[in-house]
Amino acid sequence: MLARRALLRALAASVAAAALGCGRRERPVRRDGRVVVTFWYAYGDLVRKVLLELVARFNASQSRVLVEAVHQGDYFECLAKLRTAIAAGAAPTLSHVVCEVVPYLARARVLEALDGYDGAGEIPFVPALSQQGAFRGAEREPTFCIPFNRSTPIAFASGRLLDEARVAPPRTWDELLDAARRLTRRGEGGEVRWGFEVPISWWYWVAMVGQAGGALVAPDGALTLGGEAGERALRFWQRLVRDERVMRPPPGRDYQAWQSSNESFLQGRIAMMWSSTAFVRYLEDNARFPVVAAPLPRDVRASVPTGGTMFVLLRGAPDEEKRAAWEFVRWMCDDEQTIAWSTRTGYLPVTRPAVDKLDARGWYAAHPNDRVAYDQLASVDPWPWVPELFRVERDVVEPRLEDAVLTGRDAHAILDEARAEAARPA
Amino acid sequence: MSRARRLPLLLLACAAAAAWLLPYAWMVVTSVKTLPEIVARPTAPLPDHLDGGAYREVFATLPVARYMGITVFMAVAIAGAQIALALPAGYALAKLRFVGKRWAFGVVLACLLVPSQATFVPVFLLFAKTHLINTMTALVLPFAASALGTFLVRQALLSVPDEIIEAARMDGASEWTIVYRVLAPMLKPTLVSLFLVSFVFHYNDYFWPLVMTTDDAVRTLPLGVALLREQGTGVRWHIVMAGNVVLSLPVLALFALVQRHLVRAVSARG
Repeated sequence: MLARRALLRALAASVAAAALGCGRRERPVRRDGRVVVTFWYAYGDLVRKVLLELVARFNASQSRVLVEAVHQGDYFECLAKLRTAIAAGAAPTLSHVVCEVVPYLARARVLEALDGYDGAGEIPFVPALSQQGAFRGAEREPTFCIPFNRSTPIAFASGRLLDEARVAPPRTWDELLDAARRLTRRGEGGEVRWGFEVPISWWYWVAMVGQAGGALVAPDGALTLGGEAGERALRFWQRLVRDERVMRPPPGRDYQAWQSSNESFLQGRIAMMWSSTAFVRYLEDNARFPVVAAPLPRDVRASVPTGGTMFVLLRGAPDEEKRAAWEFVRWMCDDEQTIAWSTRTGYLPVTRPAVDKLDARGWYAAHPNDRVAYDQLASVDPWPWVPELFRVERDVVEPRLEDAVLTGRDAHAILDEARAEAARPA
Repeated sequence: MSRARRLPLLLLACAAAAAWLLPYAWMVVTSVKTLPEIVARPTAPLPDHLDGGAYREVFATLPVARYMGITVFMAVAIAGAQIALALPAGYALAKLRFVGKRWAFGVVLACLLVPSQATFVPVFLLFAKTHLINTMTALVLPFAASALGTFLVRQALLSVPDEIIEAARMDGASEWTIVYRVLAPMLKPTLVSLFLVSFVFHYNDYFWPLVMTTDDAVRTLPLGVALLREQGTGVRWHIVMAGNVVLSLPVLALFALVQRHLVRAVSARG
């Protein structure tokens, strides 16, 4: 999987370096009198099914636009293909991309600015999930992206194990350490039930940087990677894993580690974990114990980044296709579609009226964990609007985190190295 | 060999067979469990009861027959083209005399050492410029000439006596007749193993079809199976495993069909 991604990234980088933004189609594709919108997406299984049902509903609801949704692998494969296709002049009209890559694509001038489209400024997004709320510094930029499947990190715990150990969901790092100690059990045969687990990955590290009072980028634009707070976050992980031995770093990279944590949690082999709000349905449906969601604990303050993806329109597509794609995006943001998407997939609802309707219909009363996820949006720390953000995530920080935690290397030295590499031009 | 001396060998063979078979058996068993069962006891050797829901889901979600048809056609076309081209190339390198023959063989060997990572970017650009993305040509053509196939055929032909070729020539056979009608049947074990290696590799290939297809026109089954996996909201393992069982069936059938030739090819070379 990683080798495949590496190859795709190499392909994207090679082609994009040569010709990013060059390709432009002149004529719109039409079928049976309708403008065809090619929509590249990156979901499988149930989420794909929900998406395709919504696309079919949109296509049946009008006769001007025909959306053709095409699967392009996972998020990162889809992104690599998108960059390649842009350069080769074969890009789709519409796609969705991970949040952190939007500033890079915007700087490359391959995204369509959406402010001039019909009703673009009137969609009542949940502020923390829109481009303006999800990025610091984005207020100076045109709107390039529309929230689609959005999530944040969240804490999940086994209600049964919490009750047995008489432990409340931790609200601070100190409480987390204490709870993890009390929930960790070592059997005589060497088996361990771990008190706590979280994938050693960028998203959670960024959350901890914010909680420790830091920011990835200094006000002067320097990529400080949280400075002292970044190191404090790493040291806290090292303490949980190496000194206190109350946290298991899950095996695997990216989603493999996330899935491994989910499975260990469902098997009762870990008592608490940090994961994504998007897993709430999966965990609730498959756990044989009550799943308790809680906000991430604070160090000096509460902080979570946002995740998931945003809709983007590709600038090189013909104008008529872009207008048709916008019609679909606008439709997806209507209350009923937003509600259907959110309740059936587990992603956060992205508009305020949809949240109000869910509340009025008793959804949050019946699904208190969803309420916790929504309420935690009050603690969202926006991403910096920095084109290097995605490169720093994937190539600079992510590969060093596991090394730091597993080998116990000095956090200051590791982040110094990362800062030096981040400052180097790509 | 005495029974006592054969026993360790037998145990070793059983261990090796188990190392290959157990993951497959686990995959099959997982595909007939329910998700809560898998999550609670992933290594349980038997399901509580047989559940075919995952297979129903696979066939309801994917156009399995279409994807499989495309994949089998692609893999057969590639393997067939490789054999068709490797035969004359291997023949030239083994039996003909021409200037630069050693150099040409060196180039073939060098091709074996060039990783695909080094070549796929220009190949992709070439196909993009010639509007061949999303076509069967883009899936087959880049693999039609095989350095490995040429090498294997050349090595096999070295053991064929030149007198056979001379006799055919004296009977008025053309070079094409010699290659395809006289020598090819003699190389059957080699060609069968080449076909199998090529078929299995390209049938399972995920990367190249993913790069070369941006719509559903010539999507292959491994790409289809990827549709069954959603990582961002939780993987339903029984469905992923059912998809992989379906994916593996044609390859198993093919092995069962040509097992005899394969064993002969391996034992002949050993």
